[in-house]
Amino acid sequence: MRIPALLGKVPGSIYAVLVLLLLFRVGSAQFLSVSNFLNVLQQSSILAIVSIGSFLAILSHGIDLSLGAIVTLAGMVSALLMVQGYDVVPACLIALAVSVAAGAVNGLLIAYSRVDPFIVTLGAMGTCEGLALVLAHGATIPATNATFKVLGGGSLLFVPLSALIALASYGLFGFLLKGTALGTHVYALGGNEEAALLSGIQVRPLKILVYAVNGLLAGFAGLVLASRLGAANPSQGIGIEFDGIAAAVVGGTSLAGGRGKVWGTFMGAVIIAILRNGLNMAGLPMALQMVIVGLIMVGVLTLDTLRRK
Amino acid sequence: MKRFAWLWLVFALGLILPGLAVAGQAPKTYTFAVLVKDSTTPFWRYLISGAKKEAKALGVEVIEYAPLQQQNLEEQMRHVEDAIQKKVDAIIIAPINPTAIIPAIEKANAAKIPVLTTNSKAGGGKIATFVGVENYEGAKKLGEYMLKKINRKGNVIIVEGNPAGQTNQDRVKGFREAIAAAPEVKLLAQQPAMFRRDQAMTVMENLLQTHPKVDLVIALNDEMALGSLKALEQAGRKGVIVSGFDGAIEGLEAILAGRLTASLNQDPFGQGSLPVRAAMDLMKGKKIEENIPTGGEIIDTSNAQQLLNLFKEAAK
Amino acid sequence: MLGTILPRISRLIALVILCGVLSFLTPTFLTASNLINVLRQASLLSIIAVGMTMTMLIKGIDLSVGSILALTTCLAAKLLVAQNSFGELLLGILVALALGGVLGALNGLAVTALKLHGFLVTFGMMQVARGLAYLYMHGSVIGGFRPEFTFLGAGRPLGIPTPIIVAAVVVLLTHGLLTNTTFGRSVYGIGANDSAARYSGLNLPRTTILGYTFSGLTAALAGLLYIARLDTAEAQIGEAFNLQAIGAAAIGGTSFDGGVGSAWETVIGALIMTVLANGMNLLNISSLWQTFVTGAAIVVAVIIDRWIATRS
Repeated sequence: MRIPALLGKVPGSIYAVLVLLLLFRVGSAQFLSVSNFLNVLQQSSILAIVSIGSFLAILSHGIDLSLGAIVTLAGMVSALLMVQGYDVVPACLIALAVSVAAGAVNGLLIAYSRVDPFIVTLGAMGTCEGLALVLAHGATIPATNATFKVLGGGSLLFVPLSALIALASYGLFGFLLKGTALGTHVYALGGNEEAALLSGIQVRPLKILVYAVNGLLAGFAGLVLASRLGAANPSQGIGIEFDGIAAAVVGGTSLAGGRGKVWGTFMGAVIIAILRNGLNMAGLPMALQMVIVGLIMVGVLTLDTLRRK
Repeated sequence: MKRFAWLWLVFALGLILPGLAVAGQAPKTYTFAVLVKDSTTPFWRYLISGAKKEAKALGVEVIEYAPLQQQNLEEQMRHVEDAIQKKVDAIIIAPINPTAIIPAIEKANAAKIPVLTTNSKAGGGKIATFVGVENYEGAKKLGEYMLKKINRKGNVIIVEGNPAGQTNQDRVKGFREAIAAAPEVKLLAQQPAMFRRDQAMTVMENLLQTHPKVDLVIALNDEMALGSLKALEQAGRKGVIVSGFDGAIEGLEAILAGRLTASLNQDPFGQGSLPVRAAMDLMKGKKIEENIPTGGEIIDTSNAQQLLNLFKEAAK
Repeated sequence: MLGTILPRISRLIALVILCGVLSFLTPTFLTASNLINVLRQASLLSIIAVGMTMTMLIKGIDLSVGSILALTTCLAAKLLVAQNSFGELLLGILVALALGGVLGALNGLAVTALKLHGFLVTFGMMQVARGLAYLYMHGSVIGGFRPEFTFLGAGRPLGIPTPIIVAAVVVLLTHGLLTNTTFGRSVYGIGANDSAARYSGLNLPRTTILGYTFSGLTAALAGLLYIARLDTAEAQIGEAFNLQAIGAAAIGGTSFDGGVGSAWETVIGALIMTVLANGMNLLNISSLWQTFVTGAAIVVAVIIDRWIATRS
């Protein structure tokens, strides 16, 4: 293929990343170092994992606001269990089970009660967050088990383990969504629920599955986060669901459902992580950072739109 | 397609040129990172302002880091990591949570960057010093002072901040112990207002509906105290005294105006400037104290004016 | 007959049930004083929430309302202080409202011209406006406004708190706009089906820009009432409003896909949320449990509402 044609096939988000890298390189000498690269990789992994969940929910024409709360709850449950003497693996498994259950409840309500996913997951956000608060009596539970620490802090050949896990998850979901009937069904569900129902897709169980999987993803991210911080605090996951939605949308996922690629969401999460890191590296005052984040986001997306014309 | 070629060229230049610029720079001054708990509350702006002024006087650079999202633990950890990447000479931090900050501090220790804590303590890692006020003790002292003002008898309401926050819990502990030691004092309610003025006002409005007789309102920071005062004043409630915490400029003004009864001085400017000075001492190889107390005294009409003058000078 | 009425008042019934439970749990709830208190608190939220409803109806959303609220009030604040003249006070109010409208229009323009979803555009505006507010205020506050201004927030003409009156006017106006004008038809048209609306000759880009402008205006108006009540303008106010406004609109049945929603139902949504918060304070529910109770109550309220609505 000729070079110009090849260049045209590169997704706009890659250009966005390059532009950002350029800007931040100008802003700070240390930005483009190997060590900072690994730093950003690690910092983006938790958001990246959660964003898959945001992506799935939006893809199925829904939304999941409870992801951050499940992240908090999973971390809290695992920390509390470990503090009481449970071994790392059972503690994590139980925490994941709780997360899946929370997601499944969301899915059940969304599938059967005709209540908008926004409200169901908004309510779930409050209940899960509240549950974490109550379970810990507001306290911060340490999570310093050496094996547990590996999740959020370990590396394999210098690459952070959490980043590898995130990449693997994207690989898995990328395959599931494009290469299996189940994946096609999720796209169909998001595109047009009526049509999907008529064509024989089991819409209700599918919805439950989507949100249960979200719970699992958030739960996993929660374990990584608790491992990274060495603690579980009742407010540590708050807000990440919002970043996840931003990552999915920046990555080209349509809020109307039925369109988007999971790897686009990955780029979205990476862009957000690079933005934050780059701005910190440039040493700008926080108020200015806020303004710049807003401008860059809109700017990057505008570039993408223009490019597509 | 030619425009894409241009883009790649610009990109390549952008990678090389700044490198050349840096290579020719003069020896840099010291750079300290100052990490606070959020970018919104005025208290932290004072702290950063104090730090920057001291830095200017000493000829060093200060970079501020504040989570865009209030009390976001992971964001604070990222800030520490980014500061390490930036190869700062010292990290001055007000940890949002003493336990959750430990891994971050350990990373800084591994990178041989000295860590100084201010305002709140860290629960582990190697710390060069702590600058600040003991929240628990300060609260207990202030609580006893206010209870004495109502003759250790009557109804009290506590307006707290964020129940999951360490600072919050320490202060609540201190205040509640003071109250428990006064048998004729009744704690009517303890409700959260997230350290926000507007939320405190709403909470107070609601509480006043159901509590006709209130003698004392203890707010866990000056912002909430001011919000509570507004609610009391608009409801026409007289005879209720209010205390805050922090020593914010507006709080001081309210004390001088006779609205707020007392607050506890956290000396926010000192919490910013003293660690910068201590960090500079470390750079020069001098030894510093493990604990640099600052503030900690009760503010009322007797000393509010001096503090106000001091702070106004520092805030310029 | 019940079949047609029930779905329309199902949310109202959910609200009534909530109030019933609270008045059972505490006698203070149903007092005139507390009800007026709740109505006043809900007024500000209602004003912002109907603006939010407008943007949701046109298949968008406005995440920047809290930030617009902060920026407009901070910039206008210096004009409103007691030392200035009444004329400057009026100018200040005009400046805030005009700025709110302009920021909203910018959002709308970006949505139509850049073809980006409202989520992204207003996310960007949210950051930019808030950042500008902080840069402008430098951590300081501006307060001590003229009494004519604080009357807006704290006054009680004819015994009714001013915010309630202002909110009632705004809601009535919005309702009128949505149900009785071409603009309203365009708004619902966009939500229902883009192409059909376009073919029937309605001007969609203009409607979109106007919709977001409206949201910016309501945010600024609510902001003015807010700082009038607090007698202080600071850069950090309104941060919680985004989610609250969206919550109120959503509980009020506004669909995220556009086309479904009404001003009155949104007000009921706002009332449900305010009543909840009020109840928790009155009952002195432990701070630790409040997040849980809020979350669970929202879900329960909406399930009740849906259950009643589908009884027909």
